[in-house]
Amino acid sequence: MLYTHYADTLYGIIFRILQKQEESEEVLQSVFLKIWNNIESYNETKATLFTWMAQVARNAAIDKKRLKSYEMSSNTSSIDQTNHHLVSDFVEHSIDMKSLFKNMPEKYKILLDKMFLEGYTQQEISDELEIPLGTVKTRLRDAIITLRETLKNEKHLLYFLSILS
Amino acid sequence: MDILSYISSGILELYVLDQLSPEEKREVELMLEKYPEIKKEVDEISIALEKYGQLSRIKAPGSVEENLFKTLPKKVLTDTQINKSSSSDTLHRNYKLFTILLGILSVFGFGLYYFKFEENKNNILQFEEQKRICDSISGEWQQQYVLLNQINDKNNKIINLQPTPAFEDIVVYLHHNDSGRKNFLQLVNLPDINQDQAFQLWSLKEGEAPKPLDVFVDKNTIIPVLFVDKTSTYAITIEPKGGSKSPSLDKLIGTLSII
Repeated sequence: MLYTHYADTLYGIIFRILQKQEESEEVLQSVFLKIWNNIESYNETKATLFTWMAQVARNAAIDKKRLKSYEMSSNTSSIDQTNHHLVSDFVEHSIDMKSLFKNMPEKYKILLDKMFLEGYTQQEISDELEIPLGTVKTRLRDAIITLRETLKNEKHLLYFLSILS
Repeated sequence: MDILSYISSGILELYVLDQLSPEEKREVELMLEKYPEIKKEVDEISIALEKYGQLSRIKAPGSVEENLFKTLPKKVLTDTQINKSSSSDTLHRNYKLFTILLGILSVFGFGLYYFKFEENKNNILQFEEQKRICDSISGEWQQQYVLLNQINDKNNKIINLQPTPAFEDIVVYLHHNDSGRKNFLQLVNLPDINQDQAFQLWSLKEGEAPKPLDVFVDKNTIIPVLFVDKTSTYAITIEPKGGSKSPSLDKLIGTLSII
């Protein structure tokens, strides 16, 4: 149940960080084992289940990426490109979700992708995007507010559609 | 505490993204416990990011699920063992509870047995006492029966007491059996006497001093008394307790004449 519900999203996060299918699968498996073994340590008062699981997945993928052996394999193979192609085959873009966020400013999407999906720190984003650290923080908040507004509108739209149908 | 300022500071977004230092994280967690508004805000940020995460989801390869479930049974097995252990614990607990209950029942049973034993013992003692009393009564009745038989002997002669004027209402009979040489006094209504006094029977013969016989305190019963040959008259007096050697004539109740 847990696997069916969250595997694809967690795999998406892991793959965004590692960009390699085989390693991503390996990490996804280890992440679920970790979740399975540490479910008692999950505290629902501190975070939602998904947030906790996403943290475990992000951290596992980042740890994997930091390994020396991983860096070496990245330098000596062109698997990234292959996987990128594979990704396009695997990705199940929900049409609704895609259309939902299509109007979101690109600057917010980049920020959310980097921080939430790829586990970048604020400093790393500041460095990579060449924007001040304070701006990163403010922009992140704006991005999430926009995200929430969008979801709220979606909820209202669904409600409206359900009344019409 | 300005909760709105805290919420708009951006710290909660960083908390959900796990971008805070351990100290900052602890601070937020304390706030979460304290302020439901902050918890609600964190939950909404989390849900929003979860939705955003779904945008980038990728179909996880089936091999991961297969491998995972190959690995998980070991864990399940462990859980089963835990369950077994838990069952064993439950069994042990139940056994312990059963033992305690058995112990309580045993103590209760032993207590009940002891109580009943003591009760029965007392009953037996009471029964024995009652039996002894009954035997005693029965013995007395037996004696009375024998006595009555002796009184009703056809050879008996019933002699009325001739009371003195001071005791004119007193009734006493002497059942005199000359052939059997037995005497019985049937006391009907002897007068009240002091505790230091007693009744005494005397044998009177002509030309002889009165001979002291039985001393008694009963006033209305039948008692065997001494038979003295050639007694012409028996007399009853009131004497000091223990009897006297010679009769107190001023306290003569009456006489019983044989001839």
